[in-house]
Amino acid sequence: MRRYLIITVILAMIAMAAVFSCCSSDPEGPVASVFIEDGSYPSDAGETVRYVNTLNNVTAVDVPVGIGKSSLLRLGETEGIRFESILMRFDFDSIGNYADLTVDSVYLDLPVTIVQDTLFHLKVTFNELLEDFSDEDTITAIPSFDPDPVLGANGETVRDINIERVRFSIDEAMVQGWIDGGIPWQYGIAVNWAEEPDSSGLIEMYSENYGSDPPVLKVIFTDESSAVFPVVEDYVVTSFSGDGLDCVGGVAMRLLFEFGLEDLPEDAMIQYSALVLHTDGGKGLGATGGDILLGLTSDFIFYLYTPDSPDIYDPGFLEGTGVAANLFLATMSAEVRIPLVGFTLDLHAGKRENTGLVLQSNQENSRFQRASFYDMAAGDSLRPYIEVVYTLPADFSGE
Amino acid sequence: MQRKTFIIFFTVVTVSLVVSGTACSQSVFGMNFIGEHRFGGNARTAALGYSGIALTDTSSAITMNPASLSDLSRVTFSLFELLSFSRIERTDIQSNRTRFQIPSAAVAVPLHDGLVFSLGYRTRFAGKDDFSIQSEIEDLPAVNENYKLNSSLFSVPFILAWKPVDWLRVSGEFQLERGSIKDQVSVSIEDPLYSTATSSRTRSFSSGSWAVSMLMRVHPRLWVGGSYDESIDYTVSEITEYSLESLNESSTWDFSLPAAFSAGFAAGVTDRWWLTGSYWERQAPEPDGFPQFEGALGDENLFAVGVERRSAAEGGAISRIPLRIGFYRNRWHMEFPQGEPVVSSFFTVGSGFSVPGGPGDLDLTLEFGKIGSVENNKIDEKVFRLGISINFSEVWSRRKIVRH
Repeated sequence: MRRYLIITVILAMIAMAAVFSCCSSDPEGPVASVFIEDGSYPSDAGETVRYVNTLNNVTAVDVPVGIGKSSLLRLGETEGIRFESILMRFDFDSIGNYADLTVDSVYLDLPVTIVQDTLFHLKVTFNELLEDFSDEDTITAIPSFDPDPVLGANGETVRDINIERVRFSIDEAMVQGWIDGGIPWQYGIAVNWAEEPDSSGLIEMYSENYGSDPPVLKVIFTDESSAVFPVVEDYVVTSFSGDGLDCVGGVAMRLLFEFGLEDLPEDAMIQYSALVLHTDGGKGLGATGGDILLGLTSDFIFYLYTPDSPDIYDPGFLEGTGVAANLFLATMSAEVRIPLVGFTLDLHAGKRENTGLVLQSNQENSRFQRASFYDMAAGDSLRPYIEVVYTLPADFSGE
Repeated sequence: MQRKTFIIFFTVVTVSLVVSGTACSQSVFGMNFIGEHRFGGNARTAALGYSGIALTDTSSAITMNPASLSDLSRVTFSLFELLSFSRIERTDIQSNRTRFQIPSAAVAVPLHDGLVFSLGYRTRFAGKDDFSIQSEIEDLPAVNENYKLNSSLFSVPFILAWKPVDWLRVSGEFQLERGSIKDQVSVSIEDPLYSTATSSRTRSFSSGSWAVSMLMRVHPRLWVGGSYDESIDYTVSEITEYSLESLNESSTWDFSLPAAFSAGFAAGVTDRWWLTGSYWERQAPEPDGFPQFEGALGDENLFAVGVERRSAAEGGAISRIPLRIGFYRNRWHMEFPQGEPVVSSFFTVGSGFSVPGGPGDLDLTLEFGKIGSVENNKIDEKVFRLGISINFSEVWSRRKIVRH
């Protein structure tokens, strides 16, 4: 028995020595490479290539989108996004309770929370709407309204909104008419720009979706009692006036990238591919002051997909297969690399039709944001492109 | 108890070998062609420079000449393990490596007096390398070309050795020839966003071959031996796989190793001092499947000599242990570059002692040598090898069943 024990111990020691010793070799690449250089060792790695496709075309596509359920109402313009009109409809159901009272004064109280620039002011008019609206709708143009603005207590028609002035008088006689049996603003009012502002800026206020402190119409009667008629539906009509390569949320603008990968060798083993863009941070909008007060971040969250149809007029263009989703800071000039992962592999393998790639804000239904990119006319270092890194198959022929 | 203990021990050893057998040690030259040729034998014959084709051996199931197995009178299990330490040099750079090879193993079972059956495993050719070459590509992180080779052509011999007369031993052998050569090249980029592009080629070899050998006593102090291995006609199944699956392909082709023969002698100068000499040769194979060696494969041969001072039954401790020295020169099939054969030259020394507690012994060998030369082959490898072989045996007999 002793014999077997001794031999077993010896063998175990040999085995352990072997296992551990195999880890102690120096790197052998430099010395062994002589066999590769000479062709004696038959394996030869294929060439690794960085391929750049400068894209066939990039198109900014305007997609009708509106945000009706935002917690904020905005007026003004920032980074090309124009908040042109606020639509408000009030709850006048209780107006019958105030019959026989005499109106002393009336105010439209707008709960302004923040103004982008304390010096910014905007001249607006209040116009009665002539057709209904719903915050469930996508509204890209102001519904028809009475061109004659609602008068103020002193007959004024144009009001100036700024950080210090958020309460506006309304003609008492008109409201007295409602108390006496007339029909109040049936569809509400539109708060419209009276003229182009001198400078861009933004006035933000809480909407009825915020849950408290909505815009109200306040009526004070001569007996010092008062009535408050809150806004029960509101909407901001928005447009975008940018002319560059912009991906905009809330408006919305998507970008279609068209390209072909026919130049790639058939036997390319793709290791990496990415859509490379460069942001112009000076034109970007991550978050407004109101957004930040609500706790939202400045991150621009994007979604990249390959559309079911490359035709921008086809409904299939608006949906497709997701390729990537991530975020970046739109207000900082930087390179944005969006890995295309399996998309390029599928495309190269012929498993997928090349319908291009569409970039959109992943919050285009809830956030107003803008990411501006340098377009194809920019220099090589800034223009958008697709980068593919691949390696050709190793050659085992030994020839 | 003895048989049970034997089985347990055999299992432990086998598991140990599987654990340790995940790598093979070979010369850096073995990454080319079909690998480095490993000659048969144990630590005793290795210590004699692999010159023991005409040696009688009454204790090991691993021998250079299978005919000598007929001298075994007990069930015998043998192992031979070789560890290798080397320094590889080119004109300006060098590298150290420490590897080991899958041990040879064999069990021999006497069927009748002078008739022994043996089954074993031994590596014929092996190669292993794993290295990287870094390159730079503009606007990309560092690119690493990772090369990995793992090759082993092994043989499972089924041997029948017979001693028909006292002065002659003969053997016949069927060898199951199997193995594979796997080359893998992966290109990785030092950034986790980049996937690795992998190409691999696996060549699976399979064949069967025959061999015969003889050992003859010409004089009480002169033995001659020889062997003949018929050609090995491998069927090679080749599969090439890539990261891009559509490129995968497979093929089947043939590769032949020509017949090999060896001859040698063992001459006793005195009762204890013996000279041994062997010559082994195989003609150049055709470079089927290895086009890079077109015109660069030559005949392989081994010239070996050794001197053994056998142990004495009496005397001091030194007298009671054997001493062996040897020298061998092996010319490889491979020429690198073309026209420059790769030659190994080794000095060997070794000894051995009996395993305490019963029949069996443990032999050690040290090999010092060089493979290739910077002058002729652009690269050389200075090698130190440590070989250990263990033999143990016992008599197996039918268990008597006593009924009460």
